[in-house]
Amino acid sequence: MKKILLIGNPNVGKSVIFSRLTGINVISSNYPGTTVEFTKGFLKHNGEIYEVIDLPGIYSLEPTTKAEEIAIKLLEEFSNSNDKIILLNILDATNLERNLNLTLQLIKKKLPLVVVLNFCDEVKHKGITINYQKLQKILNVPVISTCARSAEGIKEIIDRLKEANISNFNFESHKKWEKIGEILHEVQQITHKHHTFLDRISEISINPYSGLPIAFGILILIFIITRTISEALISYILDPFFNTVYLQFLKNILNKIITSDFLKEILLGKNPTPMESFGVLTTGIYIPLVVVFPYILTFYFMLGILEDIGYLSRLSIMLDNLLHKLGLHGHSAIPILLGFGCKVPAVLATRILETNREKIIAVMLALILAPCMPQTAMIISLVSPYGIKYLLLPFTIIFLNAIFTGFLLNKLLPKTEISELFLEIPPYRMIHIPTLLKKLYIRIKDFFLDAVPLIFVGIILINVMEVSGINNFIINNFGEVFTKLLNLPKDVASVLLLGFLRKDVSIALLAPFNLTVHQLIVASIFMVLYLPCISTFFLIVKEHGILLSLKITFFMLIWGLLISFVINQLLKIAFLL
Amino acid sequence: MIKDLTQLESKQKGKIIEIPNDSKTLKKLDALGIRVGIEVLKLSSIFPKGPVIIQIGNTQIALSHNIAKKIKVEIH
Repeated sequence: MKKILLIGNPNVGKSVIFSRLTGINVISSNYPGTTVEFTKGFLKHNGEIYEVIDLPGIYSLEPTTKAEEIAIKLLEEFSNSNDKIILLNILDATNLERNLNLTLQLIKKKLPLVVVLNFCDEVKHKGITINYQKLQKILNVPVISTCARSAEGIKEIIDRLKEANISNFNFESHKKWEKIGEILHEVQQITHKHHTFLDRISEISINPYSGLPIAFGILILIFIITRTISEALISYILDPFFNTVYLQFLKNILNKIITSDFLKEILLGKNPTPMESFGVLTTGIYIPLVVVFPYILTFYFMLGILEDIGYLSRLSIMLDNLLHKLGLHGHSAIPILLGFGCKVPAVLATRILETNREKIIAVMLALILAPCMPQTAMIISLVSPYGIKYLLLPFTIIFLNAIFTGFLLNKLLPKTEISELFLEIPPYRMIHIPTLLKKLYIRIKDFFLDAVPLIFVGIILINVMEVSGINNFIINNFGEVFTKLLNLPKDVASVLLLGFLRKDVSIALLAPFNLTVHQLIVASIFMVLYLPCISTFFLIVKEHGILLSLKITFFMLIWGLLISFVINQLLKIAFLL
Repeated sequence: MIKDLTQLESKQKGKIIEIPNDSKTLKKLDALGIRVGIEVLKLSSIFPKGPVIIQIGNTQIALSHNIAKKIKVEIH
C-alpha cells in the first residue's frame, strides 16, 4: 500500500489536515518500547487506498527530544521499506523561515515530497504575501496553499499527490540559513502587521501579573466543569442504566445458564451493591465504565479544547516556576492537574515526561495531591456533619503534605539532568471540532484498551485472594500494626487493608464503626495517602514497569503511615487543648 | 550595550551575539531558528526565575531561565 507521511513542525495544523484526509477509521499506536504515539488512517482516492501516517511534530531531523527521535526513526523505517511513500511536509505559512529549515532537511532525504503551506487565512491577516509559484519552482516540488480549518486546499493536496517528486534543489548543509534567507527574499513580502484581538489576549496570558491569575482561574474552572459534568453523567445516566438495565439483565441470564455457586460468586460477587460486590461482571464493569469513564471523557474533552486553542503551552509556562521547586517543570502541569479528578488519566499523562526522575515525582504528586473524586465525595459525606472546620482539615493536610513530599523527593532523588523548558507558544486559534472529537475518540479508545483489561485482571486477582484466604491472613496478622499506630478500633483493619482493592469506596465503609471525628480524619488521610487504587497500580506497572511501581507503592505505604501517625499525634494534642 | 535575555527589559529588542555552546542546547535553538545574528524581541518573563518569552519573526518561544541567561544580545 502507498503510504503518505505527514511531517512538520508542531502547531502547524498537521492534525487538522490528517483528520481532513482520513475517514473515521484511525488507529493510534505506540512506537515499540516507547510511549510516543503516532496516528494512522486511510485515504481513498480514484480507487486507490493510501495509508496516512501522522508523525509526531518535529523542528529538525537532528533529534533533541524523545518524540523527535521516534519521528525520525519512523521516517527512516518507512523509507527503507518496500512500500512507496510520499512525504507531505506541512508548513506554517506565517513562519516560513523556521519551517523551511525542516523542508530543506527533508529534501536531502531524496524522497517524493509535496509541500503544503497551511494557515492561508492568517497569512493575509499578518500582512504576508507569498509567491507560491516561485517557491514551487525553487524547491522543485508541488507547493500547495491550504486553510485546513475551512477545508480550502485539501482537495488540491489529494489531486496533486501524484505530482510528488524528488527535489533536485541543492545546497550545503552548513549554509542552510543563508539559503533560506535567499528563498524568502524571492518569495515572501511582508507589508504591514497589525495587532489582532487574539494577539492582545495572548499578551495578557503570558504577562506574569495577569497570566498567573488567569491560569489559576482556568484550572479551577476546568476542575468545576469536569466534576459537574462527570457527576451528572454518573448519577443521571450511567449509574441508573447500570442498576436498572444491565444488572437485571445480567442476573437473569446468569441465573439461567450457570448453576455453580462458586462461579456465580466470581462473576456477580457477594454483595448486591455494585461497588462492593467485587464480581468480575459487576464491579469489574462498574469501576471502569461508571466511575472512571465519565471523568476521562470530560477531562480529555476539556484538555483537547485547551490544547487546540493554544492555551496549554501558556499554562505550562505559567506553572513552570512553581513546578521547578518540586523538581518538575511546565510539562508536568497536565498530569498533576489530572490527579485532582481521577488518578488513571493522570498516570496515563505522565508518559509525556522525559526523565525517570520527573516521572517518579509527577506520579507521586498526582497520586497524593488530593483524593480522587469518589473519595472526595465520601470524605465530604462522612465529615461534613461535624462542620466546615473539620471538613477542610483533611483536604488541607493532604495538599500541604504533597507539596512537602515534592520538596523532599526533589532533594532526595539523585539529580539527573533536569530537562529545561523549551517551548514554542502557538498563536491562539479557533477549534476544529471534528479534529477535537477524533483526538478524544482515540484517547477514549486507548483507555478502554489499556486500562480496562487491567482493572479486570485486578478484580479476578482479588477474588482469588479472597477465596484462598490470603486476605484474611493479611488482616489477622498485620491489621493490628496499623490500627494501633493510628489509634483506630481493631475492626477497622479489614477496611484499611482492603482499601487498596476498593479504595474509591473504602472510606464509606468506615461509616458503621462509629468513629470520632478525630479518628475519621486520620482514617481518611491514611486511606487517601497509603496506596494507589488497584486500577492505578496496574496502570503504573504498565506505563513505568514493575520495579518503579513497587518503589512508588512502597514509598507511599511507609510515608502515608508516617504522616498519618504524626497527624494523629498532632490532632490528639490539638483536641486536648 | 550587551545583556543576556534575562536582563533585557520586556518589549526591548536586541541582536543575538552569543548562544550557549553545548551541542544539545545548540541543536534545540537552531531548530527553532534562534542563532547568532538575528533580531530578538523580549515579550515577558515570569518572575522571579521563571521562563523568558521571546519573539523571533512570527514565532514566540518560552525558554527556561537557565538557557535565557546564556544567550547574549546587543542592544542598539
